[in-house]
Amino acid sequence: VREELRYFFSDGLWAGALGAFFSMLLVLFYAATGRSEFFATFSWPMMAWYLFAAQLLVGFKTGLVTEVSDQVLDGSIASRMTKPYSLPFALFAEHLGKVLIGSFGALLFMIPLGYLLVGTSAFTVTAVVFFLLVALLSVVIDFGIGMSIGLLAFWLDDARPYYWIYSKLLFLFGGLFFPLIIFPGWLQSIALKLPTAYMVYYPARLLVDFSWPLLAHVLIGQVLWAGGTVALAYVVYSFAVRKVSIHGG
Amino acid sequence: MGVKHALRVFGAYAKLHARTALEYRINFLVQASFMFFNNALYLFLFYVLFQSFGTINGYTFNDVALIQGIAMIAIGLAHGLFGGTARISEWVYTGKLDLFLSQPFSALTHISISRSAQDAWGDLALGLVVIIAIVPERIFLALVCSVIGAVAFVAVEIAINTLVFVLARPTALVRSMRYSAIALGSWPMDIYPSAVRFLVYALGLAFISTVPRNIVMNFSWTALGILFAVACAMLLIATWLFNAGVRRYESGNLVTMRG
Repeated sequence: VREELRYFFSDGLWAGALGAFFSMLLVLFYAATGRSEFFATFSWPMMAWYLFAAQLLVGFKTGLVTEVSDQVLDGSIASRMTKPYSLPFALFAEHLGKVLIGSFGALLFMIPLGYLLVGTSAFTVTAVVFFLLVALLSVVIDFGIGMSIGLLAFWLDDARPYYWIYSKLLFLFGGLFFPLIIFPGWLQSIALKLPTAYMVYYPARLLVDFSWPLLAHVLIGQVLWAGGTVALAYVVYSFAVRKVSIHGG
Repeated sequence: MGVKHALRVFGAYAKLHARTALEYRINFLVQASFMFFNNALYLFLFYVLFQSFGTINGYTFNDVALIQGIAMIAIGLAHGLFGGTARISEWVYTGKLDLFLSQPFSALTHISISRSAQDAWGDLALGLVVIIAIVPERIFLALVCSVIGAVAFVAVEIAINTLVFVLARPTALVRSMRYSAIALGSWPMDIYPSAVRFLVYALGLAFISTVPRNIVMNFSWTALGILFAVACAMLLIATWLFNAGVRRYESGNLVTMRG
């Protein structure tokens, strides 16, 4: 966090402004349809805040893949593995710092923009508090997936192509452009079970459509997916460590 | 240092990039095909939206797909032939610019052609598929407009990357701006209110694919001429920004070898 704060005013703040601007374009895209209700569930204010929340949840995450992949390619990860700390945990801490500062920069612009466009009637204080909690768990799931994909660079030279697909699947099956209820029944039932849904769709929906049963559903799903993806990352990491010892870093 | 010399250097680099792609052909195929699939997924996002809304401010899915197709060709050409423009900020920040400044050739041209993004050919391939599917009778015009869009995109890329000369560490900012430029450059801007449209036109992003698409659909020589003039002006401004930045640049004293 300290490292990111050093460059906040010259870098992170403006990156946040751009993220907010992009989410505003998406909101205005929906406004251009001239509707007051979307997908028979979301009122206009709900829809607008859903899109802001989804952008926030997606915007500052997926960079982890390229970061890990780059560290593998330039060999710096090998020297970090020899340090007296757990490398996966260190990467998670760095990633979390970047996400927190990046998200803070975006929120500084998103909140006034959202307020000016649609007010704050779409959510409650309780919803905001629990949104922050599920957003944090969403970062953990992203870390598990991002690290697993990034470490693929040990075998595939460059993991970025896999990151592109991951990011677009996150857009599509996370619900960045639209809530997942837009899909037809069969696709919806699959999409709602994927980790991407628990990273973006459910947390964003919880903000604008809070209920205790939904919160319980989101938390259970997130804990299960977080456990699964982080375990996968550790398995991939344990294989990657052996790869380093073979090639000498 | 005439145009002939520049073309010879460009040809030599093009050969080098082609040989690299052939040497690491699996990597090339993975990158290009994954980018193709990546863009197809992005296009699918709009397909899903328009399935739900029908038309938005008179725009149909085909209109948006044409904008995306032109943008894919423009960005594909820009990154495929002038991929180094995307690395300017990184090279300045890490002091690798010295290498280009010390050689008897335009630093900006040299940087631009020294890299070719292998995934760019995936952009180009899907872009071609899209315009062939949507405007089969106007393919030549769509290609001409896409090439001019590529010039506009190269200018935007250079301008964004020159921010590194004035900011301390603009990594996240440059990344976000590039992402936004690509997204806005391939976004149907004419559906927005005039204030937003003005901003996107003023920043030059509308000249990557929105204006080219409008020309493909309603052709006039005047409009094509204006597009060409604007793209050239954008490139001149970007070059001026880069040169102004270089004057502020202090050597990183980095000694590098190039094989």
